[in-house]
Amino acid sequence: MKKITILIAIVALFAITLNGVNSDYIITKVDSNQLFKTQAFSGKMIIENNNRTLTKQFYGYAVKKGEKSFIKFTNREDYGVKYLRIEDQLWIYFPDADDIMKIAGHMLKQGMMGSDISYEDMLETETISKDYDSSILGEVKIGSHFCYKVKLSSKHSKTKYSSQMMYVEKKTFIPIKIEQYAFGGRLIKIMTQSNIKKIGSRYVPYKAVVTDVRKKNSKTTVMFNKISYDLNIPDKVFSLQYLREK
Amino acid sequence: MKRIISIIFLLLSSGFIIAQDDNIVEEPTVETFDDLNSFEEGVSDDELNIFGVLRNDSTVVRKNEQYSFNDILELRFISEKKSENTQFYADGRVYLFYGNDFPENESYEAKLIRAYVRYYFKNNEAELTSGKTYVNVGSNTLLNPFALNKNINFADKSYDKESQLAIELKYFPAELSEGGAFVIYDPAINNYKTGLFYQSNFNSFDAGFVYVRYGSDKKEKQLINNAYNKSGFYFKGDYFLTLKGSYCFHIADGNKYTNHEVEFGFDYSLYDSKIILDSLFYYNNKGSLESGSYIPVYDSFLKGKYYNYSNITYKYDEFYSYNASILMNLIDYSYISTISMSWVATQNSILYGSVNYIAGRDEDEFSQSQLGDISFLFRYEVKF
Repeated sequence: MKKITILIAIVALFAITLNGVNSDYIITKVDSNQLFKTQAFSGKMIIENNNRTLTKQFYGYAVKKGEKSFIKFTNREDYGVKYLRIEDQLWIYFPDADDIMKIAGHMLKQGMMGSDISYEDMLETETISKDYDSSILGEVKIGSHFCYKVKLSSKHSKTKYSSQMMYVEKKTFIPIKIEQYAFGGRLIKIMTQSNIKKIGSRYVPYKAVVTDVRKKNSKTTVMFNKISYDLNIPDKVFSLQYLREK
Repeated sequence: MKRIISIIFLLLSSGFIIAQDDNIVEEPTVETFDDLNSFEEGVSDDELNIFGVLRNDSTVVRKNEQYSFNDILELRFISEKKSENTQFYADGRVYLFYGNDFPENESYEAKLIRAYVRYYFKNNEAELTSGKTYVNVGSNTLLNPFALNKNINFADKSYDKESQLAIELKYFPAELSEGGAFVIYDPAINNYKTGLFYQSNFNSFDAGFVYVRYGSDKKEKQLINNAYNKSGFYFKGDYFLTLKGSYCFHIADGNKYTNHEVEFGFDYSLYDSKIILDSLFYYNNKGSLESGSYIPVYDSFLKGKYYNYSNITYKYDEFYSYNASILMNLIDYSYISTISMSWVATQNSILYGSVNYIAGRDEDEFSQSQLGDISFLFRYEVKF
């Protein structure tokens, strides 16, 4: 009888460990999927508005240390337009003028290349836990995915969103749906993430669809073709010289 | 007992792992920087790329109660080829003219806007450009005092300037710093411009220093009879809003002519940068203080002393944007105002329309009798 009691206690302990997760644990796992020393990626961005579609191809690199990122657009219409972000500063190279323009900090909230994804969103390298407090609201099923429903509340006024509702897939800890709210409490964007692949020890969504609910019949889809993490990227990539040269 | 616990642990663990890997593809990792070339997609740098742009500008101008119509069809070809250390770039254009302001025997023109070769010094963080190229110094604002070509069409600020024959060396001592030296030759007046510049980044501000020396200008001899120097500094950065400014001091050899140019402005955006406000003040010490006594000022955009340029842009999305701007002479309060709309019609075509209204009397700098009071521009542009 004593052995059975111990066995039940041990099984119960495992059950608590697996199911009794708290929001901090979930967000840490979400962050660990997104955290990297360096990152390289390529893909395309499809901007849809009513019946019109614009497709932009790009590739880029990012490093966490110093929060630096570089993106080059390679579709014919935008070929050679390049972005360099270092912390909160952004520079754009325009091939038509053969010149680099420093973009004002306040412009980081603008949609990148006119999409529903801002420069801040696209080039974000910060962890969620640094900017948001989290609380778990329950478990829900979205499609075939079992998810934790987590609410993120902004810790300070510098964040773009006052709160976010995140539906974090239990298996991979990928937020497969994120609702983003402005400081007035209004829902402004919904993002869904899919086509999840495993790279090393982390799970990565290769497709994201962002809908700005303030616009009718408008959405932006980002589809990555290749993503790689923690490779050796020289410092020179994140410089004015590389912005002109590459 | 130990065996039972081990079995339970093994089952839980293996079940968890199986659940994690369900329907998930495992991607290979890339480990060296050379492999990053495999991330490059779309138009390749390694090939000779040729791009084309067909643009048509139709304008209607009302001047002294008379209407004139003009049309310019521009065919642009850009070719570019990059290799590990070099870049070749050429931008050639053919224009076809039609309308009231074009003589019948001048119905077309061909121009080479740019054609240069650039060499990248891999180990020295430098580049050397030779050919017909833009030499950009100072901040890229509308009334940048250091601009080396100050001919601006204020009614259509999006036009492309012709570049200059130049050799330019740029050096990048740090990730956000650049310095350089250049020599520009203008064969039309057998004149050289030489210069030095340096720019770096301090606490979210880009700031730089420029020195330019102009050889004596054969065509402008009535204004400046000596070789001529201009020098100063500029900055752009964020402090609550975005601040930008330039100061430029002009002096001819022998101290026979001096001038000061100052530009200061700010910009700010609202509603997730959908609305962008931009305002610039421009001071030209040699400019006139009285309406009706305007004379050209050497190496200057305009003839008056004080100006304001203000601009508001509403960018709805990638497809639609609207703009209103005004350039005002603060001596006589004449102005050029523009309202425009841009519409991205398809992946590779843009429609643009604008209305200019000019308010100024005969003796004013922007006078209706000289420039017309109202004009319309309709543009269609296709990239291929």
